Amino acid sequence: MKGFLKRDYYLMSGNLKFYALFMACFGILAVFTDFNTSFFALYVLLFGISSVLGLFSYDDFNHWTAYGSAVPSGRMAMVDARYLFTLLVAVGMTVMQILLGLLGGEGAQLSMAAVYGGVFFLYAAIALPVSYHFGGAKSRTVMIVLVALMAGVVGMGGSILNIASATRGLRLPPMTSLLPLVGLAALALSWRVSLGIVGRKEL
Amino acid sequence: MEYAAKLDHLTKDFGSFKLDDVSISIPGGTILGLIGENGAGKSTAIKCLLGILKPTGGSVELLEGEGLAGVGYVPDECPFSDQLRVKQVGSFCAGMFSGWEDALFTHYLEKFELPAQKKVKELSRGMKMKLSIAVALSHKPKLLVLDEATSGLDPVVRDEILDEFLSFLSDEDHAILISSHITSDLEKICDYVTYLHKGRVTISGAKDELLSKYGKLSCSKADLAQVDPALIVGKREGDYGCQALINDREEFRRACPDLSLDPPTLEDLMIYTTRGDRT
Repeated sequence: MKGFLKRDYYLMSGNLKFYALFMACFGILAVFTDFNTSFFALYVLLFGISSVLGLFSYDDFNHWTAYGSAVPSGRMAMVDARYLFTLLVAVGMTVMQILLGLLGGEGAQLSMAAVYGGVFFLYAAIALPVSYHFGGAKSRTVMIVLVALMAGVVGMGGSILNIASATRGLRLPPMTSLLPLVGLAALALSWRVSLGIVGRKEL
Repeated sequence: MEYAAKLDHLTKDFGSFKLDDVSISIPGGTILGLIGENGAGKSTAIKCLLGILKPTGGSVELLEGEGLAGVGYVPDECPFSDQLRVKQVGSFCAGMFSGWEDALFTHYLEKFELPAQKKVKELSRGMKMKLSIAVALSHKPKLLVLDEATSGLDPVVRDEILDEFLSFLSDEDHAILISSHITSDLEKICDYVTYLHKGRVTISGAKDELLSKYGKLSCSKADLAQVDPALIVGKREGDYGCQALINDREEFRRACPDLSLDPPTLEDLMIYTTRGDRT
C-alpha cells in the first residue's frame, strides 16, 4: 500500500505550489480585509476534492489500475491507499481551514471545519466508488450532479453558521457537529464497496 | 522450475471477441513469443495470466504457485504518469514490489541512460519503455511478461532491449513471455512461438522446429495447381508467379520432388495462415 500511497502523493504534489499560492493570497486577504473566511474555506474544500478525484484521471490515462492489479494484492492495496490518501487530504484541509479562520481573527472556526470535513467525507464516500466503477472520465457526469447537491448542502451549512453568528444565542444543531463522524462512517462503508468493485472489475 | 507459466484451456468471452481454448506453457529458462495480428487476443491472454482480466473458463498457473510476486510486467504503454520524475517512479515502486532493490534500479537507470531527475513526459517512447523494463527488472522477477514492449521503437532501441532480455535469461529460473506483431524481433530471441489468430492458437511449438517443418514455395501457377491443397496453408497468386506456405516440408518433398522450398520466416507463417483462413 505504501507504494500506491506515495504515487498518489507524488501526483498531487505537482499542485502543491499552486495550492500554497492560493493559501498565501487567502491568508493575506483574511488578515488585511474583512472578507468572510468561510468563502476561502469552500475553496479549500474544492481543492481537497479535486486532489483526490483528479487521481482517477491519471489512473485512466496511464492504465494504471490494470498495471497495479498485476502486483501481488495490488487491487486491494490501490483502494486502501486511495482511501488513506483521502483521509490525509481531509486532515490537511481541516488544518488549512482552521489556520485561515485564525488569520481572519474569527477564532478556530471548528464548527465550520466540521461541516466542510463532513461534506468532504460524504462526497468522497459517494464519488470514490462511482469513480472506481465508471472510471475517471465517465464518472464526471455523476460528479456534476454531486457537486450541485453538495453546493446546496454547503450553502445550507453556511446559512446556519451565519444565523448562529448573527443571533449568538443559537447553537448549531448536534447533527452538524456529528457530520464528520457520519461522513467517516459513510467513507468506511464506501471503502468496502470500492474494494468489492475493484476486486470484481475487469481492468 | 519446470514451467514458469501455464495457461490451460483458457477462454475469455467478450461477446464480440472470444479467446478460445488457449493452452500455452512456458518452460523455465526459455522465451516464448506470442505472435498474432492486432486484435488476435495476445493482450487478452496476457491479462488473463496476470489476473487483470478474469477468464471465462480454463485456468492459469504462475511460477508453480508462487503467483504474481515473481512476475515483472511491462505493458505496451508506459504506466507511469507524465508529471512524475524518474526517481519518484523508483521511490514508489520500492513500496509496491517486495523484492525491490534500489541499487539495481539505479544500475538500470545508468545502463539505459535514464536521467533520474527528468520527468516521464520528457522521455522519448523508447526511454519510457526502458523505464518500464528497468522497473520490471529491479524487483528481481523470475518471469518477465512483455506485452508489445518493442512496438513503436526504432531498430536500435529494439535491439538494445532484446539484448537485455537475453541477458535476463541467465539461468533456468528465469523465463520470458513476450507478445509482439513484429515477428523479426521474436525470431531473434524466442525459443518457442505461439501464433494466435482470431482468439485461437493456430500454430505453437519450438521456433526452430516450426521453421524447419514449414516451407515457402515459389513457383508458377501450373506448378502450384499440382500441389495437394492439404499441404498448402495459404497462397499468394500473381501474374508472374505464385508463393505458398507448405505445412509439411518432408511430405511435400515426397509429393513434389521437382519443386524446392525456401525456409519461411515467422512473418510468413502469420501472413499465409491469415490468407489461408480468408480463402
